[in-house]
Amino acid sequence: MPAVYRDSVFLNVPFDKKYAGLFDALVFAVHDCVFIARSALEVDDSGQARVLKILDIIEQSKYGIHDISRAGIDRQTGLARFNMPLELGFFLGAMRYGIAKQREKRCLVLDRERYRYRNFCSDIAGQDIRAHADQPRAAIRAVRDWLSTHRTAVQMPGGKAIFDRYERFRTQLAVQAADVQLEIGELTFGDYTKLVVGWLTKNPW
Amino acid sequence: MTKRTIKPAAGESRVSLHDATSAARVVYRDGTTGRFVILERDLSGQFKDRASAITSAKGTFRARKDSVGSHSGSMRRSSKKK
Repeated sequence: MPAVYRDSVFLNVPFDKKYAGLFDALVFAVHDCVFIARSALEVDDSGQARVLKILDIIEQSKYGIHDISRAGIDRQTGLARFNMPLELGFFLGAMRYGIAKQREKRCLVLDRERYRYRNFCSDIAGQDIRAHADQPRAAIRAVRDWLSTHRTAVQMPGGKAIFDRYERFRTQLAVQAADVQLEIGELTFGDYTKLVVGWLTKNPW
Repeated sequence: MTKRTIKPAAGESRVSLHDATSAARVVYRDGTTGRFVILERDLSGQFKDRASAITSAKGTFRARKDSVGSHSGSMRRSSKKK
């Protein structure tokens, strides 16, 4: 079943190990808030050029969550990491120049500190920018609070309740994965989201 | 209020939603200890041992309350840093 535009949330976030805990938490929060998490990782193995895949997912997503907390200097290369700001730029461009449907897009920018962006990406002032301090609990709360303003007909649990649900999900994830012959740590984005949705189905609000 | 409808997962996986749901456990917080407890099911010894090793140092079917915030994530990471 193809993801529906009005439910899709494009996650523009780093893919490195240090960010993994936040990424997992964001995916869970998006689905617990009755949306669909979308990521470039969902098509990571196909032959399509990476930028085209990302543009396709952006086009298919009404919402975007862009984490610029890692848009700093890479220790190994000494160069800035531009992918997250670049993809944020694609998203903002679609909001500005796209057809009517694309102009309905909404985005949330996450960073470690709320006003840090002023030092390196000040042109995004005016967007909805929230801080997570590298904590899954704060990231879940920020995402929940933002998404709840876009789905007012659904009475979502608060950020604390969703984080509690996330902890409960994590407690059983290894067993759940093992039951479908998967090892925790080798889950693909598709595997992980499927397990999240399976758990949410069995553990409703 | 609109009834909550859980949305499908995006991304390719060989795992079906039916299997993922069947494998999911109900987890609750023990009112006395404050720890999470997984509702037991038909677990094979191998799976039970593996889960116990991950969720608790003592091998009980419980997890420390602080075991989530510091976890390193479960998804396989892309080799590309982005």
